[in-house]
Amino acid sequence: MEINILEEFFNICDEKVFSCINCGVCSASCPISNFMEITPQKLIFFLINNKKEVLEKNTIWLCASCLNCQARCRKSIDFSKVADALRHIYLKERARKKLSLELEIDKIKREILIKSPQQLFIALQRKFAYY
Amino acid sequence: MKYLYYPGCTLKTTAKVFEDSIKEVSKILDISLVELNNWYCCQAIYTSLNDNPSLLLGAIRNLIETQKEDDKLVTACSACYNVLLRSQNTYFKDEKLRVRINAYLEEELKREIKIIHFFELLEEKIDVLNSLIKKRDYPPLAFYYGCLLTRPKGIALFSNDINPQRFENFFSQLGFLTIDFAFKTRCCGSYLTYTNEEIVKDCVDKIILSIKERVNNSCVILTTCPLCQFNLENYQKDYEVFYFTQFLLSLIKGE
Amino acid sequence: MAEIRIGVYVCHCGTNIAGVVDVLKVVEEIKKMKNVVVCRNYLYMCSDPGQELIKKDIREYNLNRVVVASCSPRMHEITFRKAIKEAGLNPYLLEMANIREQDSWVTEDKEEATKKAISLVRIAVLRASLLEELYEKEVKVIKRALVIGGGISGIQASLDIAEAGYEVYLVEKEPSIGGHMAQLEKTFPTLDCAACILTPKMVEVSQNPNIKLMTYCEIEDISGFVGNFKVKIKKKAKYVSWEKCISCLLCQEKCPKKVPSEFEGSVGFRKAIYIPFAQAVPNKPVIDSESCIYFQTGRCRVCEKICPTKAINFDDKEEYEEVDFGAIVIATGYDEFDPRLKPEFGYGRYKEVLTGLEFERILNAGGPTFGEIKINGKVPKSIVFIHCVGSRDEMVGNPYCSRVCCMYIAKQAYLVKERLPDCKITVFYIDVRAFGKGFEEFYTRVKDSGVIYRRGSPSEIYKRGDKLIVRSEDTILGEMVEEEADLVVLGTGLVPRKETLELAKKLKLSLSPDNFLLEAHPKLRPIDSNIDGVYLCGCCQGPKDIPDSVAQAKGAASSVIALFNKGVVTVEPIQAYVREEYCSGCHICEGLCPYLALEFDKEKKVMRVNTALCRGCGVCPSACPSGAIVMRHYTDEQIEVQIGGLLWKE
Repeated sequence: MEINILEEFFNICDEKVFSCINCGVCSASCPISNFMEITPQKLIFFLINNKKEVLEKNTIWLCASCLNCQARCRKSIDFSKVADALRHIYLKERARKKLSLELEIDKIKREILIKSPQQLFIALQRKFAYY
Repeated sequence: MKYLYYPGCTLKTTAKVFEDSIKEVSKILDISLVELNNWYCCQAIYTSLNDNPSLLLGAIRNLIETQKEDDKLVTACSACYNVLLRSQNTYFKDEKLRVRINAYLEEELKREIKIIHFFELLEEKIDVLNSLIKKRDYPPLAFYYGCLLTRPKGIALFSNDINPQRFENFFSQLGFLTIDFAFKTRCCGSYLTYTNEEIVKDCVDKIILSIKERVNNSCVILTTCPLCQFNLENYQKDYEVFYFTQFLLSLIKGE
Repeated sequence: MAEIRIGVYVCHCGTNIAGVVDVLKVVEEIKKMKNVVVCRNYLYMCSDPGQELIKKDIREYNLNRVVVASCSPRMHEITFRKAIKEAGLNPYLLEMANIREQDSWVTEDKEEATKKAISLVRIAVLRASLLEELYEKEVKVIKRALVIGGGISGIQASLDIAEAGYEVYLVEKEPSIGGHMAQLEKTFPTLDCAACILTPKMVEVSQNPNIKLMTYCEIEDISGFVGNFKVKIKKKAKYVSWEKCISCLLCQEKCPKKVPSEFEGSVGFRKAIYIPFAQAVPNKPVIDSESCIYFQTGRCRVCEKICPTKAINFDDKEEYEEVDFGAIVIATGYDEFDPRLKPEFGYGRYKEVLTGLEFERILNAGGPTFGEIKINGKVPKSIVFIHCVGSRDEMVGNPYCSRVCCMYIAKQAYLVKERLPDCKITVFYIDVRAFGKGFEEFYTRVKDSGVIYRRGSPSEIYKRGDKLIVRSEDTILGEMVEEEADLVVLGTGLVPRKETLELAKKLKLSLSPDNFLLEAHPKLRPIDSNIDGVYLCGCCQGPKDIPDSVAQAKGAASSVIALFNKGVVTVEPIQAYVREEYCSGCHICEGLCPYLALEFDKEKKVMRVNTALCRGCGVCPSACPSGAIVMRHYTDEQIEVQIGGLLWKE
């Protein structure tokens, strides 16, 4: 994708990512950071260095906005908002190129789909949808 | 006391047991919950992007419905509580966004609505509850708070987001043993259950492990959130998991 | 009235002003004004040639008013007043227009900035023509100093002032002087024993005939001004007659009540009758009535029975003493950050988590474990240190760096390594700031000794079995770490004292955004406060280490000595005065005056301004219903002409 990721980011998000001191408290507090391709701290470092690879990392899709990192961050950066914004940029790009969205509902296990609270399902869709 | 009540979608469907227990408990305690007119989805998660005011519309519309009748709104679902509170907070704090949100609305949100968690109503009635409870010989209680009620700081129901004590205090005042475990506010994995089941399993495993650390034999896990309830029930079989109102009701009924 | 002849001087301040403001345009505009005889611009007006320029013009053009358009008057008003005085003009015939801080530094648009500069200079010229000659008065200085706080800074300042032959009152709220330094084991980076270098100074204080040591006392009230402060000191009830006490400390030994000790933190205890630590100065006990069994239940009195000199007096009452001082040194120090505000670290929840000062006590030979490193009675096999707890953290409102934690952790880790070579020591850091003399060399020495430094800020501490688990990211390896530890030491930061904030309110001292006391100028007046005659030293002004505190204390002491040597202070004549013929004696002004400078003249039935007390704050003239009170140098006419000038349009 031929986009300036930082510019796009600041168009839709006010989080002061440049004040990050890379202390890693976000990665440490994240309950699922060991599943991420790059940790939240690294993701922010990639972002401020204008590396558009951040959009290709699973990190932005795995963040479930539990805010554990936001509550610890010394510079009051809310990583969940950073992930929200990056997801949004990704989805917008795909929509522009008329590509299908990532989420394939058929792949979700049926027994989970039936039992699960519908709020969960709405939340999931909202994370994957471009408005 | 009469309160406007916002059930949210999940309590009407997959978490019906939760709503039923809320309704019964409130009836017993003489709390009248009147369902909000024309309520609809709170939008399930809070998202705020500068270029998209529509992300907060659902929550704000519900609050506008509320202001027609009252300035308080009771909810029991953790997600609704979190989304309503944070959306309202953003609405009043971010003036630019507010103007843009208002462009979508027939009516403005004029004043802050006090959003009350059902648990706060129970806290006020603790003496009545104490006299109603028949059965107390229960294994210790592990209260799983999850993330939605504990964060973000400043808006959340609890001042301490790592080791909150409010539910523990409540239940120990009712004469129950409670367990302090390390991961009581750690995320359960939420909707990743659809896309990355192994992550949710890992999250639940760690939560359960931290409970096992502190428990000798059995214990009961209590939750406030349909999302946590689902993940904890689905991915572990060691302990029973109940909604806290469901548990209270069984105590009152002596079951 | 003589003809008004004004000289106007517009400063470039290098590019500070001229980079934004079109200085030549300003000069051109101002030249057109009435009464302006000469108008010039110059690169640096405050420089020697700049001042010479003004002096020469005063003589040549027979100027009788001078306007300087440059920086804030707080910066250079005194400089230019002195200059025109040397040329024979009354210094109060100077007016300054601030076209730097209030214009060029804050306005981006060059045209707007130039317009604003013209307005500011214009109103300065208008006001200048109404200025009157004023004459300064001299007031005698009381040659007695008050030092508040008996830590290392307060001790050093007291000793230096006393050494110069002046009387000093050293007021300390605890029963002993020594402060936080007395709690320390060794000092970085030289590993000097803290007690060995501090206790001789404490003894010196108690023996110096010029120092009146007032421990267990607090400042109740302060009023007055430089050279003449009136201070009310509260002597808290000690319940022990220190004249009779022979420091046998039998009472402390036999007292049945144990309470947590302020000195030892959560790791040690003291009795209800106690001296804070063995080397306390004065070495006399006090009774803490809040924990004493007798005061709580009416029974016990063991100490009274045991005391061989009958020094215990349960009827002791608090007393007050009022003393006049010429100068005040504030050395109230700091508080340790309360890590309960960071619940993720589990302080208070797990007793194996200690603060930096508590661990300092564990290491100290005089501490609760007599210098043996033990937790729960066992020698730890692994210790984790965590940097920046309560510092560099906006979440708890402390965005600043506490400056000492990096080095005290390095020192503590090194001391552990020395005593327990097999203990695994891991330090989690964000940045290591080894900025002082010998610090970097010491840090290298610590790393060489085998202490492991891992870059990352831990997010959580929890228990697994009987081990603490510290979870962090190693940001260099890019991997998650769950480090097991028997003991965790938090590198707790330094925060302003609550008591200092109260004192600041009483004295009207300014605070910096971080709530430490604010110095008069960050570069050039780091020891002066915003109140003349009040000096700051040590950690009340901001976190600092011992050498910096001592240096500041010595600076504060020399400022006091210079003031006392001179013996007089000049009082600015910018004061209020009452036009008696208009005063109705309504007393409205009396209650408003923050300096109690207004008195009622019973014979004439009018108010009168006490020129020794008036600070020229301007409250009374604005409150006077009949306009009887006039502020010299800021009369209504002088202010009105400025407002008129601002509103004036071509």
